[in-house]
Amino acid sequence: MSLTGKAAIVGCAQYRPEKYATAPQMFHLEQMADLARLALIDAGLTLQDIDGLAVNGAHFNEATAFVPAVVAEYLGLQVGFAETVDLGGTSAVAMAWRAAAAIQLGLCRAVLCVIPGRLTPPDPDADPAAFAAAMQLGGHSQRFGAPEAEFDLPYGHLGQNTGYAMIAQQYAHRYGYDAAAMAGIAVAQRSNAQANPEALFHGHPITVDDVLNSKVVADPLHLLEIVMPVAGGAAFIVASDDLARDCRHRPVRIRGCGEQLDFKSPSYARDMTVTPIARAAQRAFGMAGLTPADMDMAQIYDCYTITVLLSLEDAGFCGKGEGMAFLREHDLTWRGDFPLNTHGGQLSFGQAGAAGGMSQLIEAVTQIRGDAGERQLRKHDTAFVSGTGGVMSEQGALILTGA
Amino acid sequence: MNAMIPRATDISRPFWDGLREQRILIPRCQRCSGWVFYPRRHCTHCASHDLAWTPVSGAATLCSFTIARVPTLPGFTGPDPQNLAIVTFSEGFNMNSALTGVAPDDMWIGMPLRPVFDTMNDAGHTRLLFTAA
Repeated sequence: MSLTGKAAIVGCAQYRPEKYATAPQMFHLEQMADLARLALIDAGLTLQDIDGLAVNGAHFNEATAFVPAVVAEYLGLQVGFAETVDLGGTSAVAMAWRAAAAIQLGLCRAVLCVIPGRLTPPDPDADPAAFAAAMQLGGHSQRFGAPEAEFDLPYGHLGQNTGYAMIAQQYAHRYGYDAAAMAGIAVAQRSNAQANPEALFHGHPITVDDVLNSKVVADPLHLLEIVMPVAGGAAFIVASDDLARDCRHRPVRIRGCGEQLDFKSPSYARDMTVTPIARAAQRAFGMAGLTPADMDMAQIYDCYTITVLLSLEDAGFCGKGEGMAFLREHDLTWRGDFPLNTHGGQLSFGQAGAAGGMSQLIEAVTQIRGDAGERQLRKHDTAFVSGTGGVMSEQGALILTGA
Repeated sequence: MNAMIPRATDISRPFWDGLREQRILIPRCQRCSGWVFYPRRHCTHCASHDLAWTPVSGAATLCSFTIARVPTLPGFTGPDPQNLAIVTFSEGFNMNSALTGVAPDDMWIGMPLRPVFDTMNDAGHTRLLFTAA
């Protein structure tokens, strides 16, 4: 089983991350149509070229079922491949390889992958209290018969912060914990954001002390180690090689992929310090015939600093338990010897809901094209991209290379 | 404390009813001897449907924990900081819970725990908390 590199990412679009309070409110369908238009312009393709569609199913505003058909009709598409991806923060990574696989099978030639992330206009007839309650529960089901409703909520187990915190505590117990080195992840990414005018925290550098002095939200995680949800949204287009040749930019080939789901709650993991990215990354590197040492950059999903640490170890950039030393020994900025999340990461770029993970993929594409401006890497032909959904529940990996 | 009351299903009811009687009943596979938590009607180790509700002592160790300095739900605000715990039963399975009667500074991974049957309301709904053994 292998992707033969016959599909490439040829177009991207991404809303500038904004605070929810000041961002425009648009229906999801309207956002998708707008992002599709921008991605088509970027690629140099037309609407008629698109014959495949990948959308996010969860939290879609204007429909709870038949989402691809609703979206395709609204956009004016007829497609030979339609996919609803419900993998949280790894949805973008998942869409990319599904699109590449569909193209390789000959089902379609150009797949639009799109995730909206702005708020929608409020339903004038809806109960605002019900909306607020639903927001508080986030991705945690409260439905009758849902195991997490029955066995988590009565104890207050809810949401991401405490889940990731308990993984970090277990890691610290097993391997030790260097709070300053962990804070350094957030600092390096914030430094990268100073070279990215699109980043939410452009113009706001931070220090290790700032991170360590920020409020502890759930031990050992500080506020500045936790991603900030923002309004945004993104899209990209995967096209066959023959179409890609006529597009406007250097095609970015999808050379390897992997995906792994091991649990919904890490409480039920066999070992919560060994994350699903281990197997996902191993498959992706194996498929591409490349190794971590071959990567010019790592764009690693960063909902929390602990996610980055575990991904570095489990994807093979360093050994298990060696992550703290790796952090101390490497410069993770775009200027450094291990360029990581060169757009600022979601920690400093902003996390536009499920579209947040698309920021890592789009940054890899931007770098490989050579269009990253001030933060452009000198070596920019290969990229490792990861996605993470839930509480390390579902992870995916891509190996991208410039054509 | 105003936590969400667990809603028992036909699948899980013996577990919650057991807690009301201060008994911990866990499904155990009669074919492969595997423990199944949370309760299901199939064995997650071998897919057998031959499970039996089996009493356990509740002796456990602390697998991991955190102090939620920002409460996860409105029902968990109060003078004491909210803690969340994952406990590992001596039989080997894990459960999400919380500790009671242990100060945050006295919590450590691997600490031995014993169960505390916590009656949540006048109707007798009971959940399983843990404290230092």
